[in-house]
This record gives sequence, structure tokens and C-alpha cells, in this order.
Amino acid sequence: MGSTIDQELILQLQAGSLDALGLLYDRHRQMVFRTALGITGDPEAANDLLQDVFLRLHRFADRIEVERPLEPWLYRVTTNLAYTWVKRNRRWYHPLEDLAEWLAGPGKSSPYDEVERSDDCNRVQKAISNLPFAQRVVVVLYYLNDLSLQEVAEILELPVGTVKSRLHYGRQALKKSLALGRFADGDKLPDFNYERP
Amino acid sequence: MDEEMDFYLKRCVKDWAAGYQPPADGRAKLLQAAERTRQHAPARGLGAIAYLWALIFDQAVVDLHPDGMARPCTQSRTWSLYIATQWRLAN
Repeated sequence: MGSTIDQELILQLQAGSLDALGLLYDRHRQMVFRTALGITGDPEAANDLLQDVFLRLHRFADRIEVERPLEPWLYRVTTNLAYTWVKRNRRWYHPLEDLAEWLAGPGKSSPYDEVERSDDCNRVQKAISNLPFAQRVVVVLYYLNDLSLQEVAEILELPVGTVKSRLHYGRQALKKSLALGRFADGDKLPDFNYERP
Repeated sequence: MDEEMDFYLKRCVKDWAAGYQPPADGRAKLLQAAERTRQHAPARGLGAIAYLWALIFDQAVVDLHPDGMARPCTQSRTWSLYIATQWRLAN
């Protein structure tokens, strides 16, 4: 049903309708923003990338295949633009964060504390940001967007086996950097409104 | 254990991301930017050729229509005229 609405809006967009662009933005902005945020770890970058993705949708509307779902295209463009951002900012991103922590010192609050929901969540996001890009994208698409391995593979145009492998190594790296060895020992998970399924 | 870890990671990442929202004025900014892009769309392909053609020969590229009126050429017609002229000059 959602795809039918998207198809109709894309046709209108291809005919030049900016209203259709606005409606497509409303329908998909959370997903694009969330994905960009997960990959870059930077809310400002996510805002910029959100604009860029939809400007590209507007610019290349006539090349979009209307019969196919729009979301994979949006995911793909988001990850490609995020890759460019990460490459460009990689030299500066971690040193700045480390500097901020050093300046804050132990026990003092840093500017980042204002937006932290919990220490655990922040640590997880930071650990994800430290993953190699290929693993990071898979982890974000899989965990943040609830996509299946098959869906991730289609978006990234990779074999499912490759996606599985990247997710596996991403998990291993996260386990190590978050010192989640206690999972293997069966310890209780951290409490953050955790509800068992 | 992977299942528990998956659940933990999923909740953490989602909780973290839930603290941020796209900007409230994002839609308006997008539509303004798209409108600006539309207004300043660069001349493409044959439009550019027609312009260069007119520039070089210092005349408007017009064609005589069956009704006897001279009107500016369509892009495809401009291209045809250009090719035909080039051929004529070469031969």
C-alpha cells in the first residue's frame, strides 16, 4: 500500500510537482535521518544529509524506476552520501571527541552529556562509530532500521553471505569494545527500560 | 546469547537515535532549495548547441514554417540544421 502511494508521488514528482517532493519527504524523512544519524553519529551531519538525499531525489526523479519500491533507493543514497561524509571527516572526528573527553576530565560533564540518553546507549553508538564503514552500515541498517539480512543485501547490492559476514564481524567488534563478555557468562543485561520479549 | 546481544544493541541504538529529530523547518528548506534548483537549471544538450550556434553566427536560429512564419527552432530542428550545415561546409 505504501509503495502505491510512493509510486503515485514519484510520478507527480517526475511531472515537476514540488508538493509531491514535500509529501515524499514527510513519508521518509525519519528513516533517512535515522540512518544518516546512525552511520555518522553526528546530528548536524544527519540534518545535512537528509536535505541532500531529497534534493537528489528531486534532481534525479526521472531516473527512478517507478515500479520498484523507493525505500531501497533512499537507503542506498543515504549510505553513499554518509560514506562521503565519513571519509571527509574521519581525520577530525575521533580526535575531537577524545579532546572533548580529556578537557571534561573524570567526573565532569562534557557538552555531549546534554544529549546523552544513557551511558550505555552512548557507548554503543560510539562503538558503532568506530566500526569500519562497511560493518557500520550493515549494523545500522540491521539494528536501527529492523531490516532483514536479505533486505540489507538488496539495498547494498551485496550477496547475503557478505552481509552476514559483515554483521558477524561487526557484532564481534562491538562485543569486544563494549566488553560484553558478560553475555557469555549469562549476567543480567543493563537496565534501561529493558523488557524481555 | 547472540539473540540477547542483538536485543540489547537494537534497544541501545534506537534509544540513542530517538533523542534526535530532523529539523522542524527541513521540509520548507528542501522545497526552497528545490525551487532554486529548478529556476537555475543549466541549459542542456541541444539548447546549449543552439545557443552556441546563434552566438557564433550572430543570428537567431529560426526556421520557416509551412504557414510562412519564422519561429525559433525546436532543439531537434536546431541540431538538424547544424549537422546539415556542417555537412554542406565539408562538401
